[in-house]
Amino acid sequence: MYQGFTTTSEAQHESRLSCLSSAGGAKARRAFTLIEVIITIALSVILTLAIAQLYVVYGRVILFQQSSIAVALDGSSIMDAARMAGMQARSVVPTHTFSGINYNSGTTTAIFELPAIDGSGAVIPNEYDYVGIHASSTSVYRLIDSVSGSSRISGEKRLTNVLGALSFTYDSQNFPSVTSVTVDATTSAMVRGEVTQAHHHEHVYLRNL
Amino acid sequence: MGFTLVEMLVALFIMSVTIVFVTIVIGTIKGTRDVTHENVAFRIADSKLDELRALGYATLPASGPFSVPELGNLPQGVASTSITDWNAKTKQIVAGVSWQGVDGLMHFVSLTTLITESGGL
Repeated sequence: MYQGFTTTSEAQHESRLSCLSSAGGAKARRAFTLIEVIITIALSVILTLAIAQLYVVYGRVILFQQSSIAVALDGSSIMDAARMAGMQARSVVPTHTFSGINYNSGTTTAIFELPAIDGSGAVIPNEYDYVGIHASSTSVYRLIDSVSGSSRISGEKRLTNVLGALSFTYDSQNFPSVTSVTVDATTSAMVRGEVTQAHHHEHVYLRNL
Repeated sequence: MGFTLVEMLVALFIMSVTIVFVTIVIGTIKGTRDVTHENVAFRIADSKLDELRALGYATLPASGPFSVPELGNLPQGVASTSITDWNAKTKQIVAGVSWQGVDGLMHFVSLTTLITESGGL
């Protein structure tokens, strides 16, 4: 009886255990349901898209900002070049030849005649350097033609390649009697369909009349 | 069944990254705009000083506001000059420009120079 009871008990116990273990085993090995998989995939797709979108938007904003800074700096460089030339100039000349090409002062070109200065900053008597600011389609160039011994270096430098419009207006029709030049420059660039633009307008006074 | 710690951490991480990104983007835009406006303001002041220096001591106007087209590029832009006697033959000129910054506060920049009755500096 004792043995029988034990047997029964053990049998019951074993059966319970096996039941438990089989139940537990089924739970641990249970696969994801279809709905769980779909939700997981949907969530990861949404997250990936959101992060990618953020990245794209951020990249575009940075690009736009960089381009607006570049456009503003290019506009400034035209103004700075015109002012540096104008402030040191003794007159505006109607025409000059820079490295074999003849330029005429006018709406898109201004040519200044500057007293030549040597390396120590002293004026070289009766010697003149010529500085031209010249717009050609979307580019603006600063042209320098200096005499030998001058501290200015002859050559051509492109100030911008994103010019929208540049105009020089003079306070006199007669170039040798010009005392101030009004510079109006618009620089603009297109970045992915968005236009970034900078407008500069300044009076340059000749100071070595 | 609630969320596990790991799930919460991942969610928090993603949200923080998003917020940081958005903050940086907005900060960049505001910063660029402020710097652009400051550049315009300095150019206005510089240009005014140059004009006064070029026109000479005898024709220096009285202190007061002035208007140039570029002020239109600044939100609520206002420009003025202040001309005071430095000594008997020299005047001090301050050109100041103020505008409303992106933070809503008024920003101000100014440049100072001296103009003498005869000769240059």
